[in-house]
Amino acid sequence: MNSSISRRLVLWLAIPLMLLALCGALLHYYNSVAPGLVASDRRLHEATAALRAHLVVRDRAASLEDALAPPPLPAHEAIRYALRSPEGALLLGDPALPAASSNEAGNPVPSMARCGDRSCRALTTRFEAGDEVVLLTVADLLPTAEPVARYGLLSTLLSDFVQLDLTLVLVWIGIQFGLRPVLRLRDEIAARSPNDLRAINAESVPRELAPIVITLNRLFALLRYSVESQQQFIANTAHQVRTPITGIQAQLNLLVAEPAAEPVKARLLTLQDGVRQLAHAANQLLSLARADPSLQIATRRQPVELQRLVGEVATRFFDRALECGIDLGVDLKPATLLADPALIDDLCANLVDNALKYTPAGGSVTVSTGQAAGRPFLVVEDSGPGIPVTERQRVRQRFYRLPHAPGHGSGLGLAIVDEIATLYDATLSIDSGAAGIGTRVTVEFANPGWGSRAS
Amino acid sequence: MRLLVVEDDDIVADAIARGLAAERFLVCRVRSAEAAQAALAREEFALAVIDVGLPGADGLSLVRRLRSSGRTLPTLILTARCTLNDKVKALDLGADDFLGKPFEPMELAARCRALLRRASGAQGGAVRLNRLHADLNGRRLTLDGEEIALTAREWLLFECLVRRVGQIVPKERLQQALSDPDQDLSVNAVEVHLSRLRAKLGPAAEIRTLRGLGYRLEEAKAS
Repeated sequence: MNSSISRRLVLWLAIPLMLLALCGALLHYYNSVAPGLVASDRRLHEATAALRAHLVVRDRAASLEDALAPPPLPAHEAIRYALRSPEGALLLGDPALPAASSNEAGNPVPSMARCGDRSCRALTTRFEAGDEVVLLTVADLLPTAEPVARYGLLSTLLSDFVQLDLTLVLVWIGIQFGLRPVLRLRDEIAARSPNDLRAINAESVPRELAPIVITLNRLFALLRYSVESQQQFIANTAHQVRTPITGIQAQLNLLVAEPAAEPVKARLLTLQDGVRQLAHAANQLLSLARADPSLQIATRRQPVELQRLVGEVATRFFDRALECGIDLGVDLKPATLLADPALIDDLCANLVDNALKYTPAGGSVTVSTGQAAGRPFLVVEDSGPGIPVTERQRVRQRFYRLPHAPGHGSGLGLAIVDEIATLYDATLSIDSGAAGIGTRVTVEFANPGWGSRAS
Repeated sequence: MRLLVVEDDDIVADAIARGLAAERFLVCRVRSAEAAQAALAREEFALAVIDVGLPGADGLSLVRRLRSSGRTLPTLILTARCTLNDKVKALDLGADDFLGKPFEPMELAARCRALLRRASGAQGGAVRLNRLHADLNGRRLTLDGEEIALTAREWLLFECLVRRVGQIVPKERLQQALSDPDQDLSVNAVEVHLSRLRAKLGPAAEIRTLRGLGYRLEEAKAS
């Protein structure tokens, strides 16, 4: 699956927005906790100073100087203290207060401590009293703003993420609206038939896409030009080649009919035969070029009445059939398909030509058309020698000729038929004729699909 | 009889001229549609053989111009593009016949004869087929001056075929020609009458069958 622009945009927006929301929530949290801590720290500093003024430490024991006159502690009912040696032994005060980590400097170190089951702010000071180093930890049991702030943090985060989700949904909708011209272009291109080489309207596309559309249009124009010039070339070649061949052939035929010495006559007949082959080969090669799939992209398909076309082809071959002493017949039931009539003409003519070529005098060739299960079909059956099962696939190859085949075939006939059939999604099958005699070639075209339209 | 041949290729034109001259036609040859129009304005021709691929205006536009100016001169189109579509287009424009390249000079001559026969038949009501002579108005068929007696049905079939001699007449058309409101005629009936007609015509003319499509009346080869 290719990456989607919408998904990438949302992803690249979502990650920074999430980080931003997180930072905002943390900032908000510190802002709400800080004032409470400042007040608490001031009280703890005052209490520390008062306690230090009254402390007496001697011989690893400590006491307050005057038990009767306790030091004036601010909010004294909430203040707890503990005096410990650097090793952690309690010298004086509340054993519930945890031992603080020792520090080198004499500056008081604030920290959060646990006192019993609640969290409180504590201040630890390291100093020398008398000749000993002690650690004094003072804790403030007045409730801090922290739980509230923590709750606040949670709710902020929650609302931030809800907001973020909504934002992303809006962004998604916005992207869909913003991408609409792109999607429109996509649909337009997707809906185009591969035969459609017209330029895309570049005025309705956004500026960012214009270069793509312009390049595409240039490609379309190039392709159109090359297909048209190739078609023109084939049409011109057909005329340029057929006309001189016609002249030579007609002249030779007249010459053959004139009285001449026997050796000259024999050579004229050889020449006549050669020219006939040349004419046939030229026609075959032109058909092959015309059937080239790359030329079909610009060819409009039109309804072809198969029975009419086959009748026409049979009429064209009638004289040759009479000449060869072959009974040519048709069995025409109506069938219509969408195709280039010239190609279907080529297909049918090549099949009839082959059948006449390989059927001996006295035999018969029958062409049938019709429709089976909505699919137009064309069948050419002859009473000739037939094609061995093992050769039936190979005879479709260009220039392949059956071993011991009579005459001067080019080996292109069935290749042309096969290519045209492939072009129109038709199936070409080669079987034995009725009662196993001769050849039966069936071309079954795709359903043109207007049965449903008619109903 | 004078024929006009409009063909720009010298070799083909020469072959056509020779082939037609052998059939005792007088041939006048021009190289372009413009020259053809000039010749047709100047002289009388019985028929025009016109190539499609001409320098300048093509053969089809020449036919169109002839027909739009009201000329009924029979025309035969020659072309290197001989698919059904090209043929239909040529005939729709008013051409009378169509022959694809390459072709045999003999066939061209035969078609010219058939076209001329049809043109004169349409006017004079009489058709000559080698030794046969058909008087379409008087409903008489003679072979070397001797009458061949045809039944009414045989005559209907013969008339239908002789009016389009050299061309395939669809079997449905023959069936229609015979159709009688009182009797239901099968294709088989056509076959029966045709075989009797064949027997009566003998070697003077032949009725060829393109099985499943139709029948073609041909004059016997001159011997």
